[in-house]
Amino acid sequence: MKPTAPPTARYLCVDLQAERYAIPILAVREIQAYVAPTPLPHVPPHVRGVLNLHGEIVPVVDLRLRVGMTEQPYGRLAVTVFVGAGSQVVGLIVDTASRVLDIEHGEIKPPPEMADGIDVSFIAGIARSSDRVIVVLDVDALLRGDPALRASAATQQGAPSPELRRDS
Amino acid sequence: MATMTVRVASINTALLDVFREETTDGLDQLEAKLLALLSPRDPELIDQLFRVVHTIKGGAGTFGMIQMTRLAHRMESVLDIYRGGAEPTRSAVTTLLEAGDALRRLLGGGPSVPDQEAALEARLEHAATQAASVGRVLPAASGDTSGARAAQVSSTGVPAPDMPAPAADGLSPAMAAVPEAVAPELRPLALHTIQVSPARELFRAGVDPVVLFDQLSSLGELSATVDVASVPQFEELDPTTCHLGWTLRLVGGDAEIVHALFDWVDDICPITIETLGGAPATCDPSPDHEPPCDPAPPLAAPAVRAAVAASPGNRDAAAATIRVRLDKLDALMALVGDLVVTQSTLCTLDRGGRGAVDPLRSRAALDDLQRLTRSLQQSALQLRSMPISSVLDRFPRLVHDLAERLGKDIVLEIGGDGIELDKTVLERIGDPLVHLIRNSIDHGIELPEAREAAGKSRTGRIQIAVEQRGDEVAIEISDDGRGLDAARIAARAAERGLIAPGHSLSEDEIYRLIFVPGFSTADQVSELSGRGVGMDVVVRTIQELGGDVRLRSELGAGTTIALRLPLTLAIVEGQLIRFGGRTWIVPLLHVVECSRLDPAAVTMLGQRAVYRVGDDVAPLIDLCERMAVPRTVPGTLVLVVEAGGRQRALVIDEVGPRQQVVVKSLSAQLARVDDLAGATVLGDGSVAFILDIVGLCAKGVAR
Amino acid sequence: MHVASDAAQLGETEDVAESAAPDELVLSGPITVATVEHTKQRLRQQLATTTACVIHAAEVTRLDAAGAQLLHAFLVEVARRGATARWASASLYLVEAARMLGMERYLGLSSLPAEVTSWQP
Repeated sequence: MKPTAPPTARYLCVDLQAERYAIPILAVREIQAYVAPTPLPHVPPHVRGVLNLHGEIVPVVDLRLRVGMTEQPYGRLAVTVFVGAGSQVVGLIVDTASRVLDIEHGEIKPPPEMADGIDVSFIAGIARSSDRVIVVLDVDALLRGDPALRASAATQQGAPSPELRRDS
Repeated sequence: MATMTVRVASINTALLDVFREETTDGLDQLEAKLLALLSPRDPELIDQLFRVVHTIKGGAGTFGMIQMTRLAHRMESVLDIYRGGAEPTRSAVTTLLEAGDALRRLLGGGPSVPDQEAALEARLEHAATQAASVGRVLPAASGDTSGARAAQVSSTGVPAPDMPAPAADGLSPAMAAVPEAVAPELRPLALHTIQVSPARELFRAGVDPVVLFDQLSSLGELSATVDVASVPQFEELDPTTCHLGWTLRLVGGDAEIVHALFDWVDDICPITIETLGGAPATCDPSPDHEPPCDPAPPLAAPAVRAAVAASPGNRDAAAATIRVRLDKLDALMALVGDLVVTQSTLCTLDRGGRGAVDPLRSRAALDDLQRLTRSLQQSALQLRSMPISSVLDRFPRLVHDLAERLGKDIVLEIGGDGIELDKTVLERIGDPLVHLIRNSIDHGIELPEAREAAGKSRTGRIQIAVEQRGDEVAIEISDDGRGLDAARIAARAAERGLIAPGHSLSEDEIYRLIFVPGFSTADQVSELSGRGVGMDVVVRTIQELGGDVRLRSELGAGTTIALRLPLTLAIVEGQLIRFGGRTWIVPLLHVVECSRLDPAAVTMLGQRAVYRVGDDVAPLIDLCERMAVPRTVPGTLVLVVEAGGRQRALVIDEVGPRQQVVVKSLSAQLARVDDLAGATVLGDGSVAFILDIVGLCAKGVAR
Repeated sequence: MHVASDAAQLGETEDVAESAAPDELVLSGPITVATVEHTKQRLRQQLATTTACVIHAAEVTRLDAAGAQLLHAFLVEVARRGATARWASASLYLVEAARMLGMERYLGLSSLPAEVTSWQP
């Protein structure tokens, strides 16, 4: 149950090559210059590893891969944006972080139907600014929809789930 | 008459705090030892119990807590008889436990409930009588045998019923012939003559004889004779100075309690007591008191027992502990926080530095600072963790009471309670654990008759096992009760449309259906309905803590609930190893040996490579391959590890030092990653993973 | 006027000389070590102005040994001066405390009418 969105909210804009994404500023915990995370075994390709963020071991995800784009090497300006929802914290690797933008709630349109069934639950909507299309991210859904993260397991409230089939 | 609280002007509040704290400790010990009393007789235990109660009594007397003193005194009497060799009974232990509860209530400042307390005292008295009447020896009387055991009754007192009139010399020959163990009604009364000679400062010290005498009068029949001869003339009289003295006569009661009552004012109100007659140190048969009532009606159910079987080495050793006040701790944490900030500031300065600072020195200093702050952070976090026993300690009592109430015979076993968890986690798992235990007792363990009919022992067993695995702690609660019927649950779920027809669930998934709110509450079948209620809350709480809940069951044999919780902080003795160009940690407790890889010791068993270890072979695992890291140098070492009785031979590149590592949880942020049980931050700031040896050894090795 | 030589005679029904005007002494609240200094002043005043004191003590809420000692000294002084004092009423707190201390006789309370000394639930 989401609280009603305020009329205007601030967003951090990040770029993945030519595409611009907006992350609600309230979900942004920290931004750091890109540092290669320590790789984890047995994880999906979009999980690049973990970083030590002030004593907590935090997973780091390649946002490009997470949203379904193809892999590309990181440029000089790459940064890791640490976002959080509840107790879940994740680092998102992006090509650049640009400015902070105010977007009116009314300006965010629902995303179009994706014909090929790609999971777009993490997209809150599409906005326009200075003639650019900006994809507004739903950080909550982004985290909870990622099976590699703790947040996804926490949504199961007693109902059986595939993860349980694993032996301990 | 309600007991009035004595105004104590001269006693330090700090002393009272210490008394409260120490008595609380004493009461905790009391409960634990009382529960163990029904196990095979341990004479030392009874001695310890006696001493604990004696200490509590003394302290309570010192602070004028008269009701506590009386209760403790009665408990002491019962325990004293057990010291002499009598066998404690179940009902006596229950009564003693309840008396302990009453003491706790009174200590906490709760009001005295005279009816309840009188009933408790009567039951304690009865317990003492029962124990004594089994023919064991009463504690030695104070040297007197026939003679002075006669009662001398004051002129205002009432003779005990059935006593012949005293002879002229005050001794009653009939009394002399009364055997040692008598019903309380026939016990002779004690007469105490108490000289009270207060100092002049008595009033100014806040002592009020009215209150003192009122308390005395609750022990027996009191009459006071005042001496006003020293009171000066009205004009000269300083009204705050005490010029009065008293001679008191108290019929009934114990001299020890009288002394205890006056103990704390000993310096400003000295007394002398002369006691005649009465049985030493046991019950108080003053005619003012109710005759001992019947004990609590015996349960119709068979005898119940809740014994705690200790896992070796964990329970009896009194752990050296300190109490840490949470606010001081928070202050320390804040300090550490500041240090961390300072350190990062310095790092920043260093990075942007232009000139004046010697880069080498500042670099070294910063490294030191970094190490320092990291260990401070770890030490501070460490202070927050407490042993899980602080939560588990209440369970023996819980099981005892609940089992007794339901007429079931249940033994509780607890193992691994030395493991430490963060305080916040402990606070939250208490209730879920209680719920799970109650479930096992209510719905798991059958009544003794049913168990017997099913070919089981009449005594049900509940086990709580706690084990640390890397960055997780596993808590299992298992019972050998009636178990769950998976087929029936699946059928009902299908009926309700909770599962698609034809969709097959794993056993674990089937059992978890009972956690779905509403699934079992509407069910008529009791073994399902009870189990499920409230389970959704338990599951949610555990999940919020970052853990999960699993359930295993076998119809007719029992049920096990397995909780997994991430340890936000744990310390592990680790063996550092290197492979794939990185450092990894193996928990030292799993390490068997490390040696050069001997190619001749490698053979194939079907598809699997195995390595000869002593007379056995262990599956060989190339860790680079297993952990999906590139092999940079040929692996030259073999590390043999063991867990759950199975061994594995791990191919690694190098062996590093052994050190304590602080385990950082992975499962707090990540869904379960195979083969890893946490991570740690090394001295150089890099992250090293801790290998899940338990998991590695449990799985088959595929090639 | 008569001289009471024995404290036990206090409170006994005595003849009140027609010429002496009874003086009412009202005691109320606590009479304890905390208040005895003040009470002594009042009693001293009473001694100075009256020869036949009538004590109303139904409103006394508490009496401790210090208070009892003072009242006793007061009553002895009344007798020594040849005056009289009697209790018109006494609260049960006062009576019970006096009894607990064994001082009913020394405060002349043992002759009080029964209804004043009985407990009210």
